[in-house]
Amino acid sequence: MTAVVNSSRVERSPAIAQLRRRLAWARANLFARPIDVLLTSTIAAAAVALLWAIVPWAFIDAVWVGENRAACRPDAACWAFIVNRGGQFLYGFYPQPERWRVNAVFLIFAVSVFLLLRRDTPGKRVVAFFLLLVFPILGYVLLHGGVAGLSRVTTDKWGGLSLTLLLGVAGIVVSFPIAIVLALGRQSEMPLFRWASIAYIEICRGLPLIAVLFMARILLPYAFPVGSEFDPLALAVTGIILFESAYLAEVFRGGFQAIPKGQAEAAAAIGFGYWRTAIYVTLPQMLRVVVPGVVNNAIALVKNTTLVVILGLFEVLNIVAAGAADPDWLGLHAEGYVFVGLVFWGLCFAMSRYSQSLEREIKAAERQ
Amino acid sequence: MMSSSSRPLLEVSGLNKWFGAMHALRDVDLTVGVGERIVVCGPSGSGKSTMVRCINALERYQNGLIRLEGEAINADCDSVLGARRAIGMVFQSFNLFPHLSVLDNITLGPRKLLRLPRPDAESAAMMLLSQVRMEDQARKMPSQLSGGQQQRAAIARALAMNPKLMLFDEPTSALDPEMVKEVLDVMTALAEAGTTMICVTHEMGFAKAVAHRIVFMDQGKIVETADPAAFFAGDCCDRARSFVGTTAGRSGLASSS
Amino acid sequence: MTSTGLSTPQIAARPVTLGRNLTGRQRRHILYQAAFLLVLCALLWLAWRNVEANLAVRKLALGFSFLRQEAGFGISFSIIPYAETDTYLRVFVVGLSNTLLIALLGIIAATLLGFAIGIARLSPNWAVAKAALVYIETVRNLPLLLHVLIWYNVVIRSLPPSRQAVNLLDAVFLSNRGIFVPSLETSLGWETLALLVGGAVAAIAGILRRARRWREETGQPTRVAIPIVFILAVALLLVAGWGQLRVSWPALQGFNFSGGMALSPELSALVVALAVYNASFIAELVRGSIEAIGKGQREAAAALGLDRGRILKLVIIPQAMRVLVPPLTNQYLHLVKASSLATVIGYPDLVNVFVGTSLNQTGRAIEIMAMTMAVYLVLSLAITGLSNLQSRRLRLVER
Repeated sequence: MTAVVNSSRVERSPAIAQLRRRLAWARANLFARPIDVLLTSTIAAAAVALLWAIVPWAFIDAVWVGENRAACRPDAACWAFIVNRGGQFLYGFYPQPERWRVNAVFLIFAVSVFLLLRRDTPGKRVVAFFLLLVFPILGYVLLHGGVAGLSRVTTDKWGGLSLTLLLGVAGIVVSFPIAIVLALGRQSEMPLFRWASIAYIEICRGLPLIAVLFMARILLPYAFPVGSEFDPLALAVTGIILFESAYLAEVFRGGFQAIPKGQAEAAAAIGFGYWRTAIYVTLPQMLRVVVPGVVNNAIALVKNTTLVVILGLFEVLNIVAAGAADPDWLGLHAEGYVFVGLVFWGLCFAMSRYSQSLEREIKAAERQ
Repeated sequence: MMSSSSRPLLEVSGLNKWFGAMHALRDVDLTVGVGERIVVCGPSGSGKSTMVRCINALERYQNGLIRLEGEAINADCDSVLGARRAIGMVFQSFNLFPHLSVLDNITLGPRKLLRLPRPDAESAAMMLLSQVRMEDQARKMPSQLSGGQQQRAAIARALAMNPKLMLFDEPTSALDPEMVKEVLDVMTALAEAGTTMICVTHEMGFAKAVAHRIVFMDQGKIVETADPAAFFAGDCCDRARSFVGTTAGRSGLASSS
Repeated sequence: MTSTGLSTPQIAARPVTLGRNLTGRQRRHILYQAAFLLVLCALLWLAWRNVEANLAVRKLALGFSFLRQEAGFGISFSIIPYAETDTYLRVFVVGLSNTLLIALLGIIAATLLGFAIGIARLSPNWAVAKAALVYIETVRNLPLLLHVLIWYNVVIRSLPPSRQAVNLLDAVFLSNRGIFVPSLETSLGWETLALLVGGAVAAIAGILRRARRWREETGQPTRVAIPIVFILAVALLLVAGWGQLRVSWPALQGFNFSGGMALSPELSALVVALAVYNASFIAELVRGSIEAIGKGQREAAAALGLDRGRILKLVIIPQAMRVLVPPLTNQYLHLVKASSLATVIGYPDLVNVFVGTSLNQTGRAIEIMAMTMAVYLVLSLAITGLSNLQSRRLRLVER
C-alpha cells in the first residue's frame, strides 16, 4: 500500500519541481521590478498583435496558386505571384532549358569553398588555384556560352537572384588576389608601392559604392578608344571588384598585423627571402586568421549588390519591380519584397552564424 | 679547442648601431673561430641581443663590418640570404611556424632552399629530432607542445640547414624552470659535438661548463672578455664582478676563494 | 676606454648615410619602382589619349565654366532656396546640402535608436533583451536598399491622402504627400544663420577646450554651464529679435498642407530606413563596447558598494566610450556614404541631381564625377581624421 502511494507522489514531484523552476525563472527574468512587468507585458502584447496581423495575411488567407491577380484575395498575401514567377526571380531572363548551366556554376563554387574551409582537406592549394584562377573563366564560359556547343546567352538576360549571387561571388573571387597584392604593397618597404596602395585603398573606401559604380559606367569608357562597346554587366562587375578589393585589402592588413613579428624573423633567419617568407610563412597564417573578416565582407557585399539597379541590371529587386509592373500581377510589391527579404535574410544570417562560430573557435584557440 | 684554420669564422669589427638617437652598440669587436663557443652576458639593455641579431642581419647597423668566412654581411647586401643559410638562429620566443607540423617546420628550409627532395629532408629531420629526443612529436603541431619541446624543435629546425654558426638569443628565458634543463642539455650536447656557437644567456652554469670565452657587455660596449674560470673567479673589472656576484650568486656559482 | 661610460661627442654623433654606396638590394628596389612607374605612366598616357579623343567626339573640352550655366530643371526638395534659373553650381550646392541633411538626420536618429536598442540588449529582462536581439538580427541581414524600398513603397505609399492625414497633436501630420512638421522661420538669410550657428559652436568649443586645459593644469573643477547657457541665450535672442523668429505650423489648405516644413516621402523613407538599418549595427557596437569592459571592473566597483546604476554611469560607460568611438565614427561614415542610395527613390541628393540630371544634360562626365568624388573623399578623410585624433587623445590620457 505504502509503496503505491509513495510512487505516485514521486511521479508528481519532478513535474511540479520543473514548473516551480520555470515560475522562479520568470519571476527573476521577466517580472523582477515593476518596470519589468510593464515592459514584458508591452512586448508580449506587441508580439501577439504582430502575429495577429501577419499570420492571417501571410498564411491563413493567402493564395498560393493562381494565374493572375484576379485569383488573389484583397487583404491577403498572393504568393501565387512568387510561385508563378519563381523562375524569373531566380534566373532572370535566362532561357529555361539552359538554366542548368547557372546551377552548375554555383554548385562548383559551393563545393570549392566548402573544400577550402574544411580543416583537413588535402591539396588545398590546388583548390585555391582552381577557384581563383580557373573558376572565373570557367564560370563565364558556362554562363555566356557561345563555345563548345553551348548556346549563347547574352548578359542582358542574366538576372534575378542568380545575378545577385553571381555579382557577390565574382566580387569576392576576383578581388581576392588583387587584395593580397594591395595588402602586401601597403606594407612594402618601397615607398612607391606603399603610397600607391594606400592611395588606392583610401580612395575606394572613401567613396560610396554607388559613386564607384557610376565611375565604372561613366568614366571608364572614356579611357578606351572611341566607339568601344561595353557590356553593362562587365562595368558593374568591374566597379564591384574595384570597391571590394580595397575593403578586402584592409581585412588582410589586419590579418598581417596579427602575426607575431617573430615569424618573419624566424623565416628570415633560415634564409627565406621576401617572396618565400610571404608564400610559406606569412600568407598561410594570415589567410587562416582573416576568414571571419572575409565572410563578414562577403555578407556586406551580397547586400550591396542590390545597388546595381542604378545601372539598369535586373538583379532581384529590379525583377520584383518589373514583376509588380506586369499587368497580370499589378502592385504586388509587398509579396515580392517579403520573398526577397526572406532569401537575403536566410543567406546573410547563415553566413553571419558561420562567421561567429569561426571567431569563437579562433578566440578559444588563442586562449590556449 | 680552438681550430687551427687560418681565418676566423666570424669577424665583427667596429660595430656601431643607433636606434634613433640611442647609441645601442658602441665599437663592438668580436672574433669567433671555428668550433669556438662564446657566451655573451650582461645586464638588460646592454646590447647583447642586438649584437647577435646584427650578425645574421636581422638588425641593420650603421657603422662597422661583419664578415662571415671573409665575406661581408649587411642587411642591404645581396649576400645576406646566403649568410643566413649558413647561420642558424634560435629565438627566445621559439617562433615555430604554427600552421605546420614539427616535421614540416624542420624540413621547410631544406626542401625550399637546399632543394632536398621531401623523403631525404624528412629522414634528415627525423635524425635531428632523435638528437633532441623528440622523434615521437614529429607529426604534432606546435600548439600541442610544451615550451621546452617547442624550443628543442626550434633548435632542430635551425640545425636542419647545416649551419656553420649557431646563434642563441636567450633560448631559455621564456621557459618554466623545469624545462630549462632539457633545453640546456640539448645545447650542451651540441657543444660537445663541436658546434660553433654564440649564446646570449643568463644561465651561468651552462656558461661555466661549455663556454670557451665569456663576453660581458654593458651599455653597448664589450667590457670584458675572459675565459670562464677567470671570469667567475672575479678576475675582472668592477662592473663584471658585481654582475657575477648577483647572477652567479643566485645560481650558486659565486667564487668561494 | 673611460670607465664612466660617457662617450665623446664624436662617437655619439649618428653618421649620415650617403646615397652614393647603394647596395644591390637598394638598387633592385629602385629598379622595381622605376619599372612600375614607367608602366603606370604608359597606361595613363594611353588612357589620356583616349580621353581626349572621346572628348573631341562629343565636342567638349575640359573646364568648369559649365558651372555658371543655367540649370533649367526643378529640384523637388531643398533646404536652401533654388529656382530653375539657378546655375549648375547652385545645383551642386543644393545636392550637397541635401546629402548632408540626410546624413545628419540619419546619424542623429540612428544613434538614438541604436543606443536604446543596444542598452535594451543588455537588459536583465529576458523579454526586452530578446526583443532587441530579434530586431538586430532581422534588420541587419536585409540589404539597405530593401529597407528603403519597403519604407517607401509599402509604408509611405499606404499613408492616407492629405485630407485624412494622420494627426499627431495637431503639430505633425503624416500623409502620402510626406510628413509635415512645424518649423522655425526667420528672415535672416541662411548665410547669416550659418555664421551665427558656427560662431556659437566655435565659442562653446573654445570654452570647453579652455576649461579642460584649466582643469588639467590646476586640477580644479570648472563651471562651464553658465557661460555656455549665456552664449546660447545670446544666439537665440539675436535670431529671434533681429531675425524675427517665429514658428510655422503646418495647416491643411485645400488639398495640401502649407506652412511648416514638408519632409517629402522620399526624405522620410530614406531617413527612417537609414536610421533603422544603422541602429542595428550601432546597437551591436554599444553592446560590444560595454561587454568589452572586463568583469573585474564591475566586481571592483561592486566591492566598493556602488549600486548598478552608479556602476554603469561612473565606471562602465566612461570606459566603454573609449572603445566605442572609433567603430562608431566608422559607422557614421558608412551612413554618410549610404545616403547616396537616395538616387534610387528619387530624393535629390548630390549623386541624383549632379551625377544624374546635370551630367545627363551637360555631358560633362569627368568634371562632375571629379567634383562628386572629391566631396565624398573630403568627407571621408575628415571623419576618419577626427576619429583618429579623438582616439589618439584618449589613448594618451590612458597612459
